[in-house]
Amino acid sequence: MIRWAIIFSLLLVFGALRLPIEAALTEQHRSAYFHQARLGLDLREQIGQLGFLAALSGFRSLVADVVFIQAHVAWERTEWGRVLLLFREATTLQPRSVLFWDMAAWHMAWNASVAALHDPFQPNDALRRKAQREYFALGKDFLERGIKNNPDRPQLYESLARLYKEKLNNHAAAAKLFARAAALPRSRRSVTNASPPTSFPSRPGHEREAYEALHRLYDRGEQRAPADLAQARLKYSRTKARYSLG
Amino acid sequence: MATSRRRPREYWLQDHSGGWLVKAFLALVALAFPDLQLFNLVDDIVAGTAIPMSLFAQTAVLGCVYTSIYLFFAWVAFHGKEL
Repeated sequence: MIRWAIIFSLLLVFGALRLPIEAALTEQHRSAYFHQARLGLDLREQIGQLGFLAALSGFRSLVADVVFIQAHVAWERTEWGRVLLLFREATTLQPRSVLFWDMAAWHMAWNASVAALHDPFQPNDALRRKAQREYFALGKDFLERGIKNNPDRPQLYESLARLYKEKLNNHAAAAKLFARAAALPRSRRSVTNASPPTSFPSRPGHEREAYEALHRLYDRGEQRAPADLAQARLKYSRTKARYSLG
Repeated sequence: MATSRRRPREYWLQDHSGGWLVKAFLALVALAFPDLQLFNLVDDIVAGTAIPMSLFAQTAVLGCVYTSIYLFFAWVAFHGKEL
């Protein structure tokens, strides 16, 4: 009995000693965004009993890959509702996989939205456009949630910026997101250098800002700069009566 | 932002809402059982997350220490007893 009491006391003492070490390691995990997947009952309903058991038993990545392949097959059959559900499962299972978020958003905002706009079974144009906007929103939602799960990865900021620029025609938001992507350490050079200024010319009232940003780019000798600079200069010349070169 | 699942140790250290009985139980669990979630890095590796060398080394050393200490406790507990 005394032996067990001593062992239990030693166990607690060792527990107290290892607590700060575990806390430090946990903090490192948190800063590296580990352990993001959340396996709840809603996911169990989606992927079924066997899939959920597989996910819990350490095959989460494998299940996510299978779901991703199923989503691809559903896309080939243009089953957009199924594509949405399967990508929700895949991204829930693997929230740190940027490819899943990016692909889900692309299918929703680019593919499904176009299919909805040209839906031959929907004669009402207003309803087709409404469906298209809903798919834009779904794509945006995927990217925003992807960014929440991967705030350190620039690809999703770029994708969301492109969505704002090309689909939602919100160049101000696009410019901000391109700038955020460019500020991250692993951003691509093309985005870092070229994309933020190219979003400026279409923003009314920001022609001077665009001109100056593109001029800085031009001074650095970037390849895409001259054409963009010319575009900005043209817009700028149209509005220079309102601005002074300084 | 998605948050990681909270463990008994985090509840014990951070949550001040429970009664003393709950706190005592959580403390017991947190002190007696090691946090094995620290060794669960396989999914992040599969997802393409790079594991820093320092984190890998710390985790490996911690694993060795856990193994040694708990083996020692087991040896003390069962030393001299008939199997």
